[in-house]
Formats: sequence, structure tokens, C-alpha cells
Amino acid sequence: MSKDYKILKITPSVYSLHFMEGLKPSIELSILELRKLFPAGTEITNTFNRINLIFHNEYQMDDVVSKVSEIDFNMKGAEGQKRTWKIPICFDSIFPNDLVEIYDGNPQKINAYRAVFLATTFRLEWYGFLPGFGYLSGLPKELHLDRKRNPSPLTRKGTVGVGGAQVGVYPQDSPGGWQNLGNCPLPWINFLEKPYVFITVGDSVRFYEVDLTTHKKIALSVKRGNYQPNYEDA
Amino acid sequence: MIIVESPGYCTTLQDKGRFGFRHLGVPLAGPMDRQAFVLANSLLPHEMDSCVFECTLIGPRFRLEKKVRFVVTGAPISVLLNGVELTMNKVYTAPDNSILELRKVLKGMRSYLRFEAELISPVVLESKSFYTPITPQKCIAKGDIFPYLSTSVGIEKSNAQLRVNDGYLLATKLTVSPGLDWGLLTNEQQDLLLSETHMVEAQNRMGYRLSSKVKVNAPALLSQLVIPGMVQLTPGGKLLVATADCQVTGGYLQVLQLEITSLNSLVQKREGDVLTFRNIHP
Repeated sequence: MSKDYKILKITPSVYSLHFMEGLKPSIELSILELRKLFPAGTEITNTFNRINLIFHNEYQMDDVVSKVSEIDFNMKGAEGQKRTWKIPICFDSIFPNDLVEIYDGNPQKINAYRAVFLATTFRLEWYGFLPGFGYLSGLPKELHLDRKRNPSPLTRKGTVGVGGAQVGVYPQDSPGGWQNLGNCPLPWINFLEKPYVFITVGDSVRFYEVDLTTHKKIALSVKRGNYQPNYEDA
Repeated sequence: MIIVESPGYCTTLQDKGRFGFRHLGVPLAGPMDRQAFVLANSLLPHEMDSCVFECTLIGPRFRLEKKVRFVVTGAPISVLLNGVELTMNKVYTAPDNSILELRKVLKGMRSYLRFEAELISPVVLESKSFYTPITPQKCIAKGDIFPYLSTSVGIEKSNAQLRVNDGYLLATKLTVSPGLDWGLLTNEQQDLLLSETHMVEAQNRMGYRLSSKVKVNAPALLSQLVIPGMVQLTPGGKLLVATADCQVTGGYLQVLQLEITSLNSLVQKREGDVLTFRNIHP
């Protein structure tokens, strides 16, 4: 069988497994296998098409190659319990809405976009960009939006954004080049308690619409520490 | 206790950083100049705490309530203990109720002040390294108080001084190896990148922006892992070198990777400084 991945060396202690187009390994199962093969404490991260190995010390390319070759990336197996998280989004006009500009203020088109968005089940692929910024896949092609030509200097915490085919929620105020749809009152990461994030890689996400009053209520219970995100087991 | 009388220009607290949280999108943080950090920790080891104060261009003024040993490494900076000028890379003892003042960085960018003590500051995601919003503060502020548990009380002034190799502080030829997207450049672009002089246009703890004449029509790339020392080329023809607080992923062309020593040289550069690259793997 021809190899359907290649191993890239970034530095003597950092390597990436690059999966060729067509191979859709279970990232979760692959990472579990990799954890067994490499020293404890090795950082393992992933993006859409790569798994990254970050070692504390130098590691030989040959050793990475031979260990990784033990893994069957087409493996099927029991993954952990997958959940579908119900994530609130508020479209109130107090939040920036770039659909107005994109659709010339046409309310039918804006509502149609939102309806398809709310009917979509997304998948959390990985965290990057900012602490707790999850990259969601699954946006239907007709909803893809080009990034802004000039990133805005301030995108507010909680902004639900679309960048090309990707969807994400800004975990903090930040410059941002994605198109703003609405605002999510629920933070996806906390820095104080394990497991720090409630949505794990491979979980599904569905957005549901809330009005401004509900948005404020949720934000308040989050602040008081008594808000539990809702989910359904898949 | 350390009482901050004057914070300097963005002084931060840094330990080794947050290794192990990049899968949550959390930057590594830690010292910009790891060589100066390691030197400070070698001169004053403390098993409970590797923390240093990272000083940028203008250092802080501290009141120290209790006797404690300290050392300053990295970029040469004028250091005064109770008004008396001190030497870099040398361990001193501050008596009770001292004023320790780090003034201007004389050459380079970042100096490191280490106390032989366990500093009390919030530990978030297993690290005290400042990074907002993970830690409450971006930089120390006037009036801040850092209690410390010093183990050096009663120890006589030490003359411990290592042979310090600080040639890297002023090095302007930085060693690089090809990045993963190097092959996407034409030979002309590659040659230009390695032969031209780059100027530091802007910098902070996330990264350094360098000038370049190389223009690319970059294909739309998927975001990939970014690590400190990675040199990315933007469509606008700027080089972005990732440093300690860099985002964990990014979507620009990954053209070069700085060797570790050269990364330490880079973070001692100021805006307006110039440098060139030397490729070790042609």
C-alpha cells in the first residue's frame, strides 16, 4: 500500500504528519496511538490535515518514521462518546453583523443565510489562533464567506465569525479578519479547571438563536459560574 | 515583598512557559531570550521557581523589603542597588529595605532580573508567565506587590560568575534553515530572501515584523502549526518571525526557521535594526 501521509521536519524537535488529500484518519484515535509510541510529555496538536509532534528534546527523524509506520491510519475503532453541543447565538443588532454589507441589507437573504446556518451541524476540528478558538468545519458551500480585505482592529469577545469555509467563536477581544454573524455569550475555554474546554475535538456543534434578554441571562450565569452548556449524546 | 515603585516599559514575569497547552490554542509564552533566562537560572538556581522579570528597554524600580540575592542577565542595562552601580551577570545580595533600579537598556532590547526566591504570582495553566487574558496582567504596574519566599537569607554575598558568552546579543547574521513552504518560492525569491538586508519594522512578544522585497502570489493555505523562530512571508511582502507569545497556528507561507541561538539574537533587536539571514542547509 502506498503511504498516504508524509512526515515533515520543522526543527530537530518538531515534526508534522501531513495527511494526503483523501485520507481522513480519525485524529482522535491516531493521537491515542501516537501517545503510546512517544515519550510522555510530548505535545501532540493537530490542524485540518496535520498532526504535530513537539518533543522536549531533539528526536531523530528515523525514529519518528519507524514509530509512525506502526500506525494504521485507516483504523476504525471505538472513539470516545461524541456529543452535540447546543451553542447560543444572538443576532441582535447591537452586535456587528457583516451580512448586512455582504447582502446589501437585504433582509430575506440575511434571514435565509441564518436559517441554513442554524440548521447546520458543525464539527470541532482543532483549537488554534487564540486560546480556546475552535475551528468548526461543516459550513455548507453556499455559506462560505471570504475573509475581510482589511482585518478589523477589534473583534469583540463572543463574536461568531466565518472565514472562508471555517466557523469560530472569538474567545477574547482581538483583531480579526473573519465576517461577523452574531454573538455567543458562552465562553468555550476557562483557564482554571480541567478539562478547560467542554467541546472536544470530534464533537459536534449546533447553534440556536437567542434574543438579547436570553443572551444577557446566559452571560450573567456564566459570570456567576452556574451555567452548564447543553448537549445531546450522538 | 517586592513593591513596584516604577514598572518600566512593559516588564513581565516569565517562567519556562506553558508547554502542553497548545492543543487548546494557548501560546507557549516564557522568556523571549531563552539564553539569558537559562543564564539567570544557572547563576541563581531555585528548585521551586524559575521566574524572571523580563525588562524591555526601560527597567523597573523595586523596593525589596527583605534581604534577597539577585542577578541581571541579557541586554546590558544600568542597574543600581541603593544608588550604587552594579555589573551584569553577577550575583548580588540586596539587604533589607533596598531600592533596586534597572534604568535604560544600553544595547539590545531585553534584560532579565532574577531573584533567588519563590515569587508569589498567579499560576494559570501551570505557569506564572504573563499573557492576557490567561493571566490578569499584561505587564507589571506601579504599586504591584510580589511577596517572595527567599532562601538566600543568611547566605553571604556570592561572587559566582559564569563565563558569559554574550556575542549573540549583537549578532546581525541570523542562521536559518528552510521552512516547510520554502519550495513554493522561486529560485529568484529564495536568493533575494537570503541576500537582502531586512529591517526590524515592528516587534512585540508575539513576533517581529521584518522588511523584505520578496513579493509572492501565495496560494490560500490551510492554517498550520507555528512555533517560535518560524519565519512567515505575507502576501504583502513582510516577514513575520514568531516569538514567545506567537499564535499557535497561522496561514502564511512558512519560508524559514531560525536556529535557536539566532532567535535569541533576533529578540535583542530594536525597531530600525537591520539583519541578514544565513542558510545552513542550502
